[in-house]
Amino acid sequence: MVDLRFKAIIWLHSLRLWRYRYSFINMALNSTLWVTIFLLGALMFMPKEELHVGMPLAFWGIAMWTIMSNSVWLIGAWTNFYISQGFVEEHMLVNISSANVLVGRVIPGLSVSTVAIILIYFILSAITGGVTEIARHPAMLIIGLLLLTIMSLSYGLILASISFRTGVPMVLLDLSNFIIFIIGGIATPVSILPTPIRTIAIIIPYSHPAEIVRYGAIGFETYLPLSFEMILSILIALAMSLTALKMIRKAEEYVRKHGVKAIGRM
Amino acid sequence: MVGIMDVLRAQTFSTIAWFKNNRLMFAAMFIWPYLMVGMILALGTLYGSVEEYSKKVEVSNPALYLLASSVVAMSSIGIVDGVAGFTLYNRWLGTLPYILMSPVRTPILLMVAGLPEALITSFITISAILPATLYFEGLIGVGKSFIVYGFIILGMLPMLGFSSLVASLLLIVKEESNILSSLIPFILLVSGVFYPLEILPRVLQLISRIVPTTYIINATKIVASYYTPEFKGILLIMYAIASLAIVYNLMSFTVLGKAEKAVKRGGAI
Repeated sequence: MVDLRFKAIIWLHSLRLWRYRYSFINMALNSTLWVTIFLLGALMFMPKEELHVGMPLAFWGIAMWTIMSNSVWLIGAWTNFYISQGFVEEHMLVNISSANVLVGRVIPGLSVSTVAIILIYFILSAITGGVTEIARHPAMLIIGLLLLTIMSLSYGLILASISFRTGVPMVLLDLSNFIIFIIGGIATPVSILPTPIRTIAIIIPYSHPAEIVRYGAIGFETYLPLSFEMILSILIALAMSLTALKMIRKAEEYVRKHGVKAIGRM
Repeated sequence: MVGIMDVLRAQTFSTIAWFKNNRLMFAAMFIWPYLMVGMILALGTLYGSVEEYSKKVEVSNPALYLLASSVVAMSSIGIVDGVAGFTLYNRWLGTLPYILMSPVRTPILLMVAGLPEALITSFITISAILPATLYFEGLIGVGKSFIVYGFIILGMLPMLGFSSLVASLLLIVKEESNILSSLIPFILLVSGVFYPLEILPRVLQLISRIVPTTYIINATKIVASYYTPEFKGILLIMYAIASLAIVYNLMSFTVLGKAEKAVKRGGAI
């Protein structure tokens, strides 16, 4: 039975991805184009002779932000749709956890991020003459990206669980994404950030897998020792995913008693 | 008899009511230009320097230019979203067939329905940057902001036709996905909203010539770069905008008419 439910959720999200394939391409293009506009603006601040150093840093910063923001949007914003269509109640009636359905959003989330990152890479290479280095330590790069994805997914689920109980304005999601990108050690390595912001960046969970990703991709030394960053990132990812699952279960219990509230404009 | 004025009045009322019911969104519109500029400035200064930006983009006050460009960007989003989005949102809501059956001719309805929202949105965003322009350049800066607003309104003429073409495409293409959300950043990308067009590949530079926003951005750059903006340059840009307005509006009337017939024959949803 569990296996069948698992298959059904995978099938649901894969089928939706195929059914809304133009939406999927559109989402990937949309992310890519917005990111390119901002990045090109920011690259105008960089002297031409420093582009070869700055470009890979900028590319990986943007790639990580794409994973992070897509996870938040594709879970957070989809929850709005899920709730407003009355799917929470419908899934409850057939004894399927909404948490599991929402976790399945990782399928479209990662698909959109992957296509967007590839597109960003090609666009940036065409415009600036090439992002020279992309994987100096492939294993570290994969581990870093995996931990970042788990954290993003957990954050998306935490938001979803909150939105089951109270309205979360989407504008705030946008704001928090921007702020985390700049001061959370995503856009640039923690060591490059000004001292007071550096302290904040260390507190933000994403900064630790981001440091591992940059080390794996271009060999940029991590701010804290690499082994410490690894242990810390694994522990944070574990804590975040457990918190997310606990919160979404609690939210489901709450919904059974009190009903749901939607997010966004509603 | 229901006419254009009734549509404009109804849509103005609808826009104001929407803002009244979405106060947080309304407040966010005052923050957005600063957020966009803040992100570019923060990212840019981490990678390089403001002086380098001034040199490359050829503007004397990057912050002011970036703010004005953000307003142009948001206004362009507003007009495309207002005009073309009107078709899409009504299709989603299931009200498009009723709108198509209303006494006002569909091409006129689709062209003017998004106008109040676009005008109100751009006025709000230009008002949002007034404190910054006052801080940077005093009353002259405020005056420049209103000149930029004038360009935005002028730029709406070709954008109206352009957006109507998109609206007719949305009518014909029976796909509920929002192709608009990719079109808007693409327009901004080829307009060189925060960077010089020369850095784009040749093919995108060619496309930029037929995108009205490119000319509004150029005019903004001239206004933001000089204490007394060069009149000749601005006049040339106005000619280009006027030419595009004629071409796009003529095209849109023809295409919208055909799209209306196609939709009434085959169904709107």
